[in-house]
Amino acid sequence: MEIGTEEIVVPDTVEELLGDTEAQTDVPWIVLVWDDPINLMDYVTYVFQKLFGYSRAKARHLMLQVHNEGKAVVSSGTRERCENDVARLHAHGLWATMQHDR
Amino acid sequence: VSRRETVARRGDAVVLTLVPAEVQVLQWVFADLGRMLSGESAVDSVTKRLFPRAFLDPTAEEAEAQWQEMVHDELAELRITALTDVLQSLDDAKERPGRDGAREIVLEPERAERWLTVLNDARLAVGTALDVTPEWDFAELDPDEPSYELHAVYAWMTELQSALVNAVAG
Repeated sequence: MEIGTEEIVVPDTVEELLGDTEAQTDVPWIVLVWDDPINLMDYVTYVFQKLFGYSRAKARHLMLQVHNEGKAVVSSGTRERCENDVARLHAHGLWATMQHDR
Repeated sequence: VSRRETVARRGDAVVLTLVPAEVQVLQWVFADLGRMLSGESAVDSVTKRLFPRAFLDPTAEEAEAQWQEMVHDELAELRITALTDVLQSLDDAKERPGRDGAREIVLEPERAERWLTVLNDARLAVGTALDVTPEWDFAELDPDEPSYELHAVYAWMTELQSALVNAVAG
């Protein structure tokens, strides 16, 4: 950004004043699970049900998406929530990653 | 010859019935997994599979490094704790009266879930070391191949896990 073309914005909330901008906290994140040749289809379904409380039908649908398309979005939300989900998925041996939802 | 059911439900519990040779195989595979988790005998590809990246974006190296810093030790500890418990349940397994000397291991729901994740970790370790692909088929392997026995162990653990997940998930 060139100096001089920048608009001066007066912060009108405490959060903005402290620099905790909405852009940092509110950009949604997504958690992806990737296909691998070792995890069993029934096990992956079970893990989705256990960790996310999904119905068997929804968990199975997501598992099939992972299996057929190579990956599936299994959860989304704040960075903290996604970090927590990725950690729990890794603890169960699933290959999960997180990224901005763009 | 009686048909032996390896995994069965008994109320809320899951009952494993293993012959001594099967107990030995699991003790051996799990002990090996423990050495990998504690970093005593780490194999790079296996470590990467058990503790994969959380950020795929190659420009997210800083976030990835922070992530590993934040969770690696905790995840390793969690796995080692579960593994220790599972090894304990194998040690505790009482001889069940029967001509084949089979051992019966009764797993309460929480312990059954720990067994599932530990068995899965062991399959990830062995399967990654064997470089298992989606086309992997034990029936098509040449018995003369040097790692044939380990493939047989992997195939058996796969069957066991499949039965266990169905018993746990109901």
